[in-house]
Amino acid sequence: MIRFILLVLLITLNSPNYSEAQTASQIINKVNTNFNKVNDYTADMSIHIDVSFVKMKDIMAKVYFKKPKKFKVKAEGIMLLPKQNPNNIQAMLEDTNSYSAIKTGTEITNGFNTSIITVIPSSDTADLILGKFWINANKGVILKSHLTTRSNGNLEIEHFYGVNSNYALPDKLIFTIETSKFKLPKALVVDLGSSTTEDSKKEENKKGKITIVFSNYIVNKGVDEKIFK
Amino acid sequence: MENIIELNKISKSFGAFNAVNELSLEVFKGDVFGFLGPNGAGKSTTMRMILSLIKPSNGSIKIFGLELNSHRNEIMRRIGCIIEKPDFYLYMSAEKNLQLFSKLSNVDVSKNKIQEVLELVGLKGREKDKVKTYSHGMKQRLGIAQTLVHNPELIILDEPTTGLDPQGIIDIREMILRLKNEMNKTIVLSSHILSEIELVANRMVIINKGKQVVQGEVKELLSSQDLILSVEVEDGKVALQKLNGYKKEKFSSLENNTLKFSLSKNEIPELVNELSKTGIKIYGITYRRALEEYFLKLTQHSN
Amino acid sequence: MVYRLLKVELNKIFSRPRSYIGFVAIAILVFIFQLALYVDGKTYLTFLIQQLETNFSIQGNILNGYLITYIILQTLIVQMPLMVALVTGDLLSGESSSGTMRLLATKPISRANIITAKLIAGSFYTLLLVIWLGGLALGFGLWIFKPGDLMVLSTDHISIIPSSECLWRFFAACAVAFISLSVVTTFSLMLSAFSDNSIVPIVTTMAVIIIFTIVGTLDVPLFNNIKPFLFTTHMIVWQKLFQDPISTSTITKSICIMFAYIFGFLSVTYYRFIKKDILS
Repeated sequence: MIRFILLVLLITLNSPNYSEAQTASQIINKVNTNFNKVNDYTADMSIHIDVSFVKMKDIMAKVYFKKPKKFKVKAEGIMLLPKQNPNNIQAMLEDTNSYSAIKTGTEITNGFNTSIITVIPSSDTADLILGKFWINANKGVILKSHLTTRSNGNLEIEHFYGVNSNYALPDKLIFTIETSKFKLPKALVVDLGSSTTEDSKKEENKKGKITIVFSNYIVNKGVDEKIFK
Repeated sequence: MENIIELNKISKSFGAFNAVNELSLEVFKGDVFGFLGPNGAGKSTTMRMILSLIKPSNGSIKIFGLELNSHRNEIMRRIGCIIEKPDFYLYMSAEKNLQLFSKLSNVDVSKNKIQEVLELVGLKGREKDKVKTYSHGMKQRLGIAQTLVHNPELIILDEPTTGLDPQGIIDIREMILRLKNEMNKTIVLSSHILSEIELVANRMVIINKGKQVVQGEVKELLSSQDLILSVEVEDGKVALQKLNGYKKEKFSSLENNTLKFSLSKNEIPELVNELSKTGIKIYGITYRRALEEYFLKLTQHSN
Repeated sequence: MVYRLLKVELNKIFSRPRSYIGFVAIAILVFIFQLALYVDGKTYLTFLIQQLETNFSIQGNILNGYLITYIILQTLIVQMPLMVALVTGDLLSGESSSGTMRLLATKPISRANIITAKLIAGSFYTLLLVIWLGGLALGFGLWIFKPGDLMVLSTDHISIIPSSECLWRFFAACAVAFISLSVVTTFSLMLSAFSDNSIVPIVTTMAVIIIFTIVGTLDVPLFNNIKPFLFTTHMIVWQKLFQDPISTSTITKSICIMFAYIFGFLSVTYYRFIKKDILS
């Protein structure tokens, strides 16, 4: 019900006409067209976590993708990844029947003209409640995403592209996530040395950033099935 | 005569209590020196001072002609000792204990030497047994073995016969005499039993309440013609009246119907005859040497 | 002479059954921890990282040998000083109570050398205990659980140490732990110099460590001024080796403070024992 009202409001406020609704679809289609150029790819990943309660060095990993939905990230050690996988966004956008899309404005993002496309999933049970995408319509790439999810609250992703922009494969993604306060009882961790100081109280930032840098893309050269097992 | 030990007015106080009070004595090379005194006289304290277990409050100690303060290690290398009861590492065998203590004396002692010493003290065959299985007498003998294993010149024994049975006492006594006569050791031993000292020592000192009472050759001190004659009678006062002043100058004391006279051995028969003539009943007659009597009193008072 | 004495002291320590209690206890405890974590480790870990999983998708071998070793080292903090004190607290007082001090102190060895030899022997024992604990925990941990990045959980943050950096950190932690336990060694040795009874130094050492640890753990402003002066506060500094970045200044400062305590305790020990009248 709420979704319906939102949709009506958006339509009313933005005075959409048939051509603008189509424009939103067309923009998304352009993005999907770029997505569909990729049958498979591998790339190196460097993951940098900037969250107040996580202290770790950058993680080096390798990402593998194979159409339609096979996705794997491999690293030597422990890896923390954002809960929201960019490939899930891609998969959702490709399934045009599963959502409604409205163009809700334009904005200059990272020096580019972008169209702001708001996406509302049709399903009541989908984790994504609302998605907003700043899309460079000319190139058909998403420059920014703002996702409101049931499980993780609000999530913002900035997309940066290099030579693989024609495949909509980013060189860098910056995730800004909402972080809940991290607290474990002393008895569980035998943390005899720490004490709550004023500084540590101040450190309770509500947001954190995860920066993923991609390099050495190998696109459409084939990926062994064994990797995804 | 070479001085082995020279104590010069040594004193030791524990708080307000004077355990040893300006004690001076000399021990010569080859002596078996008896250190006598009742319990609490200060014997162990003095021995501990000689062995540098306790620091004197005053006075000086010389051993082998060297100041103890400045030549301690050099002196201790040449001494073997038992202070109070001999204690060992109970979880080790006798042999291992002896090896350990000889190493501590900075002397490498062969297994043969250890065997020799154990045989000397009568413990051969028990060397592999843990000391916790030993009787008191065996530990005492092992203690003496421990004093000998590094071949010291001076042996200091603190009441070595305590807790031993009569045969054990005899064994220790014989060992001491062998050490003196066959091995030319200088021995200092303490005791509260005069007769023990008399049997082995050639020189002795008696101390009481930390002070010297008498010091000298055992024979001289104990060969005194003065004896203390004790006569137990039916009624001491009546007996004295009946004696009517006979040998009055020799009379010493009356204690519990026991008359005591200080006189020479020759005078005893006369006095006994005189007493018999009085008709008073005589239950017993004993005599001791004066020093013995004195020492006995000291011991009784301390107990 | 000290070398001779040292051999004798080591002989004495390792001839006593009591000295092996620590090694046996550590072996049993390590085995129990590893068994428990092997069986139920995943459940325990899930509970601990569930907060993290609200924000992240976590991949990798978290329950690995390094984590197991870290947990074991953390949980044996209180037990290790007892095992050390059980032997080192007895070094002087045990001789007094058994009567062998009389014999020892009449040998041609200075009292300072006696202390030095006992100190070295006690420290060697402590070192062996640390190596035993570290070796068992790390060796069996890596063999059973395999290596991996170390996830260090604190009350308000987590640190993830790459696997390649874990080994040297554990070696360094063992070295720092040895210094920490040396504080216990010298403290118990000092108490041993004042007592003719073995139980008193051992129990007193443990009581002091427990009380100081509790005071150091309580987040009460009243105690915050006292904490820097408690040696137990600095004894756990080995944990800081598992932070990223490593606070070398904090660790160095704590090590210097621990050495100051060691020096202080030893000074008192030497002074006391050299001046003491041996009456036992």
